[in-house]
Amino acid sequence: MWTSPNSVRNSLLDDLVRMQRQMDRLAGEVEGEYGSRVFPPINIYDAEDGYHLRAELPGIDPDTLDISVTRNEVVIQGERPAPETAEGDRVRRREREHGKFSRAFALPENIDTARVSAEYRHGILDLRIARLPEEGPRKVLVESI
Amino acid sequence: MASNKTDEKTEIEVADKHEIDDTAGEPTWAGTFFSPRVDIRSSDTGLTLVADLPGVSKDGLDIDLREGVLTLLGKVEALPEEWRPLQQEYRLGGYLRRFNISDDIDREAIAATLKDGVLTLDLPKVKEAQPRKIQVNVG
Repeated sequence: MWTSPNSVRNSLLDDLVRMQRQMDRLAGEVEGEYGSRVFPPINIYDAEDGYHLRAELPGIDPDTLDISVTRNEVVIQGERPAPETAEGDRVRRREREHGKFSRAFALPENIDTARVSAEYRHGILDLRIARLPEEGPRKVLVESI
Repeated sequence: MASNKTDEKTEIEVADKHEIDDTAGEPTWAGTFFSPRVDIRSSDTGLTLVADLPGVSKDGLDIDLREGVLTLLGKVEALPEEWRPLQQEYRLGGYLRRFNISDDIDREAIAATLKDGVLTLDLPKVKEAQPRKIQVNVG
């Protein structure tokens, strides 16, 4: 069966999403701190300059983040510190999460692990992973004997 | 039957709401707004409110206090239109939350700091509302 390049890419991404969910489940069993909500929540976009993983991570020192990219997965780990409280303070409301976190995503095959960059701005981590240049059609020479 | 609100007197009242779809009376606020997660702690001298507003810059934040209602409104920049979402664990939109502030708070002295998407609001109490030790003189 013939598939267009686009549908090949989509099936890779379906795998990516499925594998990532499995990894989150495993991580969730170990950590179990955030209940049903994943932390940090991450959106993935397909952009012209590559894939962008955008995590909502307010109030983090970016130097404490541990991001590693291998041939087939990216792992983002860190810790959001507990809120400061002085002696005698009474907590009226606590909705913001804190604690250790770890998120792992499987990566499609066409990524360039040498071209990964991260930016932290206004509490959002943007991890960009470039794609490998697409191979153009190859000319095949027919030799005559 | 007494309501909880009168049983427990707090200087700040919070209305729980996750997605806000009611921005009635404010037709200029287009788009989706979410209720930001907040921590509130109190001490003898005042309150501290910490709100997570990921994606909000100083220019996108509006803090309004009138008639005892503190309104936090945060706007986020839109992403380039050509970006195709592959997976979404959070929805994009602004932040909106209102708090009732009691008269014990010194409205002139409220201070705000925004750093890395976290807003910290210091709400000091007026001097008259702070507890004070009474010296007992021995006659």
